Amino acid sequence: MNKMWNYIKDWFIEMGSPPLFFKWSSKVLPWLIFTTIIIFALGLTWGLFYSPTDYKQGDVYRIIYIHVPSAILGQSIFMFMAVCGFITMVWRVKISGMLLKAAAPIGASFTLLALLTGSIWGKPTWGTWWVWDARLTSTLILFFIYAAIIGLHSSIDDKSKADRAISILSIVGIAIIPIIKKSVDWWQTLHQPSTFSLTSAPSMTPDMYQPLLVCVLGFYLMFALLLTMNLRAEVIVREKNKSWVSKQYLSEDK
Amino acid sequence: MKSNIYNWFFLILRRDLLIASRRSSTYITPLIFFLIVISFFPIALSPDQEFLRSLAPGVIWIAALLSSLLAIETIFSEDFRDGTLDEFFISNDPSFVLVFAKVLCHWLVTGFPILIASIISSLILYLPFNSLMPMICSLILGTFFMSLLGAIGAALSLGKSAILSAIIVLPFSIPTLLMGTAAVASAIDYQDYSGFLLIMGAMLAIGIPGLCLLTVEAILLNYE
Amino acid sequence: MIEQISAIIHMDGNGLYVWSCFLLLILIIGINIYMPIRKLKKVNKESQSKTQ
Repeated sequence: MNKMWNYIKDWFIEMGSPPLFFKWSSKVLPWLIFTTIIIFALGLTWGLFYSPTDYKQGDVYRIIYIHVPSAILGQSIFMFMAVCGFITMVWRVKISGMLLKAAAPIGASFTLLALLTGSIWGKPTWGTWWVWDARLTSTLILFFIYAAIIGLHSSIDDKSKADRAISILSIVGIAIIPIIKKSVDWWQTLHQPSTFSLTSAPSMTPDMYQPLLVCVLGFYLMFALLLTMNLRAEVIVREKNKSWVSKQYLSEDK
Repeated sequence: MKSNIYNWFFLILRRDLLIASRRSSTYITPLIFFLIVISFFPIALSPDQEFLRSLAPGVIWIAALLSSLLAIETIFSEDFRDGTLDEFFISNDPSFVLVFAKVLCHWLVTGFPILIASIISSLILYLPFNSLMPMICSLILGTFFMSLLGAIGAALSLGKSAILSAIIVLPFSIPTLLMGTAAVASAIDYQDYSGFLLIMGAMLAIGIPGLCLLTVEAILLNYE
Repeated sequence: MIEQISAIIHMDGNGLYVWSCFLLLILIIGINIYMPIRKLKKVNKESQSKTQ
């Protein structure tokens, strides 16, 4: 047990160094791609084709297998970014800043996907493309915060300084997001339209939410894959003048 | 002079108030901008009295948010550009006190014009008279929080465009907007609005230490 | 067999919505896969033009 703890600690310390991270990720990447594709495809085909039809909403509810995982991911990625930001500011670990920068566009994409699929789901079920209910509004605000983080990073030329700027922003974000969610929830109860209850997802039998769990797992693996790819590209781009890049990466290409 | 935190705080506060008071544009421009934004709503939408009365709390709060955002641009940039900010940070005195003093000064200088403009706007937008006092209270608390957020936005985008700091600050100001408009709207209906003011006060209580410390970190980024 | 496939694509009349969501998913993940690959290719091209 102690030995495993030491092994994990050593792994964390090693991953802090860009060349060691790159070597490790090159070994892990094929396995990651393999598992991600399998579980992602399994979850989606199970949900899209083999799960039972909902009696109230018909087959349209299958959008849930894309909408819910991307919403969950959008929020989890923001928490991940806040932790990375905290590590970057307190311990000045450079790779943590690069992790933060690499995760931001992925989180923004998943949040955007959640918004768009939620909107498309809303059209046949509720009749409108958009409705200002609590969850959609707070996801929209989350998307704005992601866009602010990405915009701030791209506007600062010195990239390690940019990393620390977005760390600060993500720390402010993680502190304010619960307040935003609570106040948007409360705002909704004030203005809730009386016609239909907007947050009713289909009440799910195990047949329906088992593929959902697999989809969520698939999406998390997809996030890990995209993050690894993004981080590898980020590491190479930032350290391209260092000698380890030409020895390890560019030489194996030619 | 004994060097302690209070002296340091009042020194910065007095200096910034003096600088701001010498240039009359610092407190006239937020007021004029506020009134211009307010007058866009009846012009673009409808001058109907009932309609404007229903819009009034939200419109006044939106104008207050935008005015305090635009006014915060110069909070650090002038001192950064001529090097006085470096001196402040080099000295032994705690820098978050500096940030708080600057934010307080900025709020005093731009908060009062916004309050006066909001009182004028409540007449223009036919806001019922009984909600005037809650509106003033909520604006006092809200513009202070906006100044704090604007300070961190200005520090992060020091030397860059104003619209970037607007993008950074505006999503975080949504709770303030919600609580402020709720306070005014519930006051119009003669309901109890104190809960909203208490929440805004609580946000200030957490925000003042937290945001000032983070603003110090953000300013120090520019000195790497 | 064909009825099954056409039933899947039709999805009770709401097929357009479900499959457009699926296409969005593929598109967004595709963009996220393409961006790092493009960055790496750019670095490779730069380094090759430097050594030549």
